[in-house]
Amino acid sequence: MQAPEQAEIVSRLKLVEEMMAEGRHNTQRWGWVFLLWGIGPLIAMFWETHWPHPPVAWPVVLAACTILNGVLIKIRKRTGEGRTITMRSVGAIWGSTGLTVLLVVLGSAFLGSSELRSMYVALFAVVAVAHSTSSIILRWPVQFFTALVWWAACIAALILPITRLHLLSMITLFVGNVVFGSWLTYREWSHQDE
Amino acid sequence: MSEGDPIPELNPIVHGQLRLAVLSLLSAVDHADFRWLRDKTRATDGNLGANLAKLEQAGYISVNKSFIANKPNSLYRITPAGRKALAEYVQSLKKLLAGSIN
Repeated sequence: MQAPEQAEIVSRLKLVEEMMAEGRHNTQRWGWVFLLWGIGPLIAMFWETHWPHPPVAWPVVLAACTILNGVLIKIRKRTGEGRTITMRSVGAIWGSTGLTVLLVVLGSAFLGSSELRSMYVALFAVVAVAHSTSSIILRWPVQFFTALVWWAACIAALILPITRLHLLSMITLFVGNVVFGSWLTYREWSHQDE
Repeated sequence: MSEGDPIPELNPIVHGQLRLAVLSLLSAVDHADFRWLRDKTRATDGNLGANLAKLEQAGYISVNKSFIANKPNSLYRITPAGRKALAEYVQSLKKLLAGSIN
């Protein structure tokens, strides 16, 4: 094979560099997941206290959120996907966290065998660990702050009277998922052309 | 490159512009599907398919075929041999460039 001209060599090296940068460039949006899993449980909590058939509030809302989550991810997969190791790692953390939370909440709803305070502490701790691990991988201080919110809720759940745990979880869900999800959605949309 | 050094050989499989773009893209990700590669390289389906087949034949990429919503979905990954070939190709280019400057 004949040796290429200098200009061609430079263009080939530039192509390699550009394609690698393009591969690493993440255009995926995840803010909606936090919004969905913030607003959904808040609706379930409101339903439990204000609407008829409170025992089915959690199973119905969680099932609806799970289906909606799955449908939205499936729709996105149709547009093509390139996954980096980082995306796979963060995806694994949140997939495992989501499954754990679903099993604990649905399990306790169906079996009715949970101790309320322990369940709140465990759930807050699991979400805090997921946020902090994800924030370290992605180097996001805002997400680490969100992890601190969940850790604070975890400690508060150990101290506060049982009657206050419902309000505590509402505030934590709002700050930890709805506010964080709104910030992430805004960030993703405002950086979409970069 | 000094005068005594031989001119480095460029791997003809990697040298193809589209194949080089695909290998470079796949080296930066864990895996990618056909549509993503097509969008990033701006290639046509036929051209991309033919070049992916060449890379697969050379053992530089692997493909995992499945179905999503009854539609075929192929996930491509760069193999260790593909990563090595790309690294060697880039090294050869750099040597050639140094040689052409000197």
